[in-house]
Amino acid sequence: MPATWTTSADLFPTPADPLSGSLPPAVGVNAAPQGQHEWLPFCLKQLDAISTLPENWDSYGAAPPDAKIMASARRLLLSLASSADVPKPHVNPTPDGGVQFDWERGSRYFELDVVSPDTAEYLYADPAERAEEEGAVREGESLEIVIGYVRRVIETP
Amino acid sequence: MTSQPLSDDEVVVRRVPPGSRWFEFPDRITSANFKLRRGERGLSVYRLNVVSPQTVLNQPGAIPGSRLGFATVGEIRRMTGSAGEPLGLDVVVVDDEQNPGHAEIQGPSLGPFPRAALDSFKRLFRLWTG
Repeated sequence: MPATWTTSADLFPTPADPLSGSLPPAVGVNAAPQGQHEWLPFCLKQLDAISTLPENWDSYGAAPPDAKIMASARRLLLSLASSADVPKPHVNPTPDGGVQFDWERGSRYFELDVVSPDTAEYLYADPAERAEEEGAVREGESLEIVIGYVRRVIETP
Repeated sequence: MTSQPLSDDEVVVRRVPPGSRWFEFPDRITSANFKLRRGERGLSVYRLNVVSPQTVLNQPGAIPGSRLGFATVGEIRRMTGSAGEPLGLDVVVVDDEQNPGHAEIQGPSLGPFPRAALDSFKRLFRLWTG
């Protein structure tokens, strides 16, 4: 069953310490092959660090991360981590107070930009295929299309 | 402010904040580095014909550990989206005595670039190692 961008409370009540090597119980997460969540605690730690960035964190007047957007991004990350097909994303803040996840392999690139507390805009791009596809997904909706794009990035042609 | 055409050969740079603050290694240029905030009409860059890389990295407000992403003016003018469509960008001098060397990358319509253009910026700009 495809993952859904959950609107419920944290599936992981507190992020695990990425240095300890242990994960908290995966309460509420669909069963996934062991090891599929290995990247999750680290990415949650990244979100925590991003949440503490001050105004002008990029030296070009960037807004500080918006708390509601960060909470929504956290739920999105937790939902993505429940899919066996999703490898670790790059995690970066955006200058308008949001956060962005992206995956890249060769010329293929997919980004998911949480731009508001309930919406993430996405872009799939591959100049080698002359491909450029954009859209948006809202909290509560299926992430099937997002996971499909991530698969498209990471699959070997 | 002045507005005069720049040579295609000119190199322009933009600071890239260190990703180490949120455990993103190694340093990497992302599309977010080129996202404009509301009200901004163009992307701020500096001309290495006028100021040195170290000057740009040491400007007031610069974040320690930042890197520089660079591209030539000609490369920017020739930028296309992933589907091959020209983006119609130009680099325009926007400087004064207090801000020598400053310029802006501007699109056909001033203001935020399309998301696909941000990816094109990410693919074009390289990290300065000079």
